[in-house]
Amino acid sequence: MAEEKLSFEDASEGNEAPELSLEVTRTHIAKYAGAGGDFNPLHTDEAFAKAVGLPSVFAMGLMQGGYLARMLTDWVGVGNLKRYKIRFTGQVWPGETITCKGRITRKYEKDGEKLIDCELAVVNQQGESKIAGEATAALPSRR
Amino acid sequence: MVNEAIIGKEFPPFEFLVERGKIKEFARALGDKNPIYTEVELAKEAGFKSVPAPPTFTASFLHQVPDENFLLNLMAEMEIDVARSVHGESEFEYIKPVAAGDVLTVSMTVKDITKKEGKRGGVMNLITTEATYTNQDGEVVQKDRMLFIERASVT
Repeated sequence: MAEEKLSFEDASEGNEAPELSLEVTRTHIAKYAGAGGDFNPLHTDEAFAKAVGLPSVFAMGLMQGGYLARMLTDWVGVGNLKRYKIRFTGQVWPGETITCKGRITRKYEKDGEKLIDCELAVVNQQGESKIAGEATAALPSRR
Repeated sequence: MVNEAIIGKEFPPFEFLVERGKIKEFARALGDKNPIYTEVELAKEAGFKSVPAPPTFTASFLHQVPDENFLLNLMAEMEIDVARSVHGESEFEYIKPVAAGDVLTVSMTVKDITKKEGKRGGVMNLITTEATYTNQDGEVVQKDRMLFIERASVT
């Protein structure tokens, strides 16, 4: 039994993924540092961040990249992802509410695989871009 | 400033073990409650040999294996000015599944260095590295590319 996610038949160009939103806190950043191993003090040491002129610590790009991947795998499945590309367009600060979004831009078959291309984004509550991304997934047929 | 002679350089490969507990911790840190990351039977039913690695899991290991300063040391070796540099992009290519119990050999190369005019004058360097992950059966399972942007030094 494969993961019960989006089937090729149910996917259409223009379809949007269920969004994922959360308010980012320093606790999220600390947990990601522990799990992911990135202990750069710009992300975890408030006094250090202020001493170099920043308003506070900020999240690792791959942390919001991880939330965006979570939104994506909830939609298309972990095993179906073929490519995931993210460009970091802005820093995420504690207190910001980020929303992860996805939309199918192309549905096609190639080399016997049923594929979709998606456009991805992470934005804050003002709609400012934090990540611009894209992904390709190979979808199963409806069972 | 990055040393362009380093294009094509291969860094010494290293191994990392994909651990089940680390996968769980990583998924939890992202609030990901997908049971596929914690329940081996469920993962097997979905076609994995054990719980799978989340999509960005491998990238985090550059901070832990073989050394916690691996990325900083890598940048120093490329002569990148860390103070003027940011991680601009990451791209993951998934070729075969990665799951708990896999022993991956990671080899990193400097794929490309290009120059671009900075917005405030001077020249920016765009440095692309590529990590290739090969499993214990000799199969290439994943490739991760990272782009570092070294901003122009405006004097």
